[in-house]
Amino acid sequence: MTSIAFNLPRTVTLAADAALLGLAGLHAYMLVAAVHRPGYLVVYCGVMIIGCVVAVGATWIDVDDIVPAAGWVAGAILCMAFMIGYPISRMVSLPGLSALTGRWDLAPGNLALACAVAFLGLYLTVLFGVNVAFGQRRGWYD
Amino acid sequence: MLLDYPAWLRIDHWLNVLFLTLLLRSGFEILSTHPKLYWHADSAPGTEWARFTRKVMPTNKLYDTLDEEEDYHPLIALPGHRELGMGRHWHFAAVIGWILLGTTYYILLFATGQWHRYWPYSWSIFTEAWNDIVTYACFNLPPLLPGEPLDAIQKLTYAAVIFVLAPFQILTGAAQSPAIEARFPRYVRLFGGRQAARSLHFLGLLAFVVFIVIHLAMVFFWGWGRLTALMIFGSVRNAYWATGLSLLIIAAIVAVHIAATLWSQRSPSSVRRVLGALISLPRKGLLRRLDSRQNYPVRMLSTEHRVNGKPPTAEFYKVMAVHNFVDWRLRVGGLVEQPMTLDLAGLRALAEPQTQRVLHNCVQGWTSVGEWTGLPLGTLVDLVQPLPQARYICFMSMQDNSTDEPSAEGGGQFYEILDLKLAHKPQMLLAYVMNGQPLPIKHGAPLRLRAETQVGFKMAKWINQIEFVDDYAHIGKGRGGWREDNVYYGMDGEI
Repeated sequence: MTSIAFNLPRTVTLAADAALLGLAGLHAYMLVAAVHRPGYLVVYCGVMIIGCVVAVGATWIDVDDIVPAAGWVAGAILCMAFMIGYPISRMVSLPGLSALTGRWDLAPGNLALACAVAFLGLYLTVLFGVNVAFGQRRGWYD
Repeated sequence: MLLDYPAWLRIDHWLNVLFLTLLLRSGFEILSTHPKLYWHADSAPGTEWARFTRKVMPTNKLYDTLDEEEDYHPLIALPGHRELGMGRHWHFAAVIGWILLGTTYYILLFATGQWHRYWPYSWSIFTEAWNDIVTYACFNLPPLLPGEPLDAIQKLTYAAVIFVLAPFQILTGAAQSPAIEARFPRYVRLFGGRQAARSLHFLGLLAFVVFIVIHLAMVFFWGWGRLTALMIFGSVRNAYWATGLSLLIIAAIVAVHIAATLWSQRSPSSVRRVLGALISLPRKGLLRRLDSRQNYPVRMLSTEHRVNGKPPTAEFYKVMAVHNFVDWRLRVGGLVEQPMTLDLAGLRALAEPQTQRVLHNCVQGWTSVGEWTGLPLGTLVDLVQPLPQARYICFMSMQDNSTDEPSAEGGGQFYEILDLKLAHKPQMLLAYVMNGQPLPIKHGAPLRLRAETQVGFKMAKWINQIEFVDDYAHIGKGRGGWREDNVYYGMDGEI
């Protein structure tokens, strides 16, 4: 048992979902705002947006333990993918996006990074028992 | 209007650092004694939304809230190591200092026109604040507002902290005073109830911690030397000196914390005496005059009323309990004209019973709602007729903490002393019935005190003797009660 524990399943799930939707929204913004849109960027953004929205929806489907948990796992995979892919996309010159190489001062990218870190942070607190997610219950009697 | 850094603003800033950090650490000490947070006034076990403890209470034997106390390290709590009495003294003394400082700050802010630095004159400031966030997200520093010392997001944040968060903390803190709750139950309901106020107070504390972290990060990124020069010299000059002096001021604040911790650990009675003298001014001047006006609806009665303190284990008490306390006697004496010895039936026959549904405020922070029936204390006082020199009432309990309460900080017979002036206040009760049933053993059977403007420890349980005295210097350790003697609580329980 951890020395800090919360029983806020809805709040935690809402906060994590807000971060995930923020990640999706920033990808949508990137898609709309980008001057050059190579095909693979459109596909990547589409996958991230749909993936995030589906993961958010799954975290609220309380039919059994598996579906909400799958939503959290899917969200974590998307965030991890972004957190690994984003620095690579700055370091490696991507076809059609060479102007972004070495640019770390782009607000949407850094905000998206913050969203991904926030989601993963919350997910870790759920995994370590500090928080519980929607669908889980605390067995406290005292 | 020149929005600069006048001397009063700089002095207030550094004093604010001192008081705020004292408040944070002593706040954590208070939290440690009941490290659980609730939204509902009954603090029902298992309903907490947050807990800061590893302890799991047993299901197969009686435990009380003393067993739930945690021991926090002095690095985060003042003074640390389960010293609620000390933590309360530091918290309340720092609150007084902080409120006085805040009042001077507000007055000077408006008197000198410096309030313009925080006042958002146009809705466009929100767009500018968003732009500032985006600029920070680009790892750049946004421009300051024209002719002002802050950027838009800083201006909004400082305004929120100074005009919203700080008053919010004071208001939610006040909502936890038993005297204020008893007199203004609706005020407490504004925050969603007593436990919601406590939870909100904690969230406010967290907001301050987050603010401090971001504030320090901002000072670092904008230039520690430059900004501390503004807050020390009033202008950007001598950045190296400013850096050195700022570190010296911080070291002095840390030294005050270390001194406060060591003083509290080594000489708690002198801390109690010195800080208690300061705290008693608003306590007696403002809170003592408040009368309880509580009448909670039946639906709000707590299903499980929490309890602090374990029942007597002495053989004579167990025998009395087995026989429904027919052998119990209450001796009322001391400085009175008509001393009395009463059994339970005699006590009940003294006057028409009075019933009250009220919120119980434990000094640890939890609350429960109960219905109590019994004899108004004022009626008993009138019957025994105190002599002119009588000033206090001493309630003696059958509980012996040497044997009955392993979690207690000391031993000996439990007693509490009340100012005689309190006896005729409304809802001061010698209760023998709880929630329509004879007073349960764990809640003080056969007789306990209810003093609704006071924190719970003043309401002695398992009473068998009441003495009227002119002074309490020679009772126990002379501090006005068992908890005062052993845990260094203040004698007055209005907050």
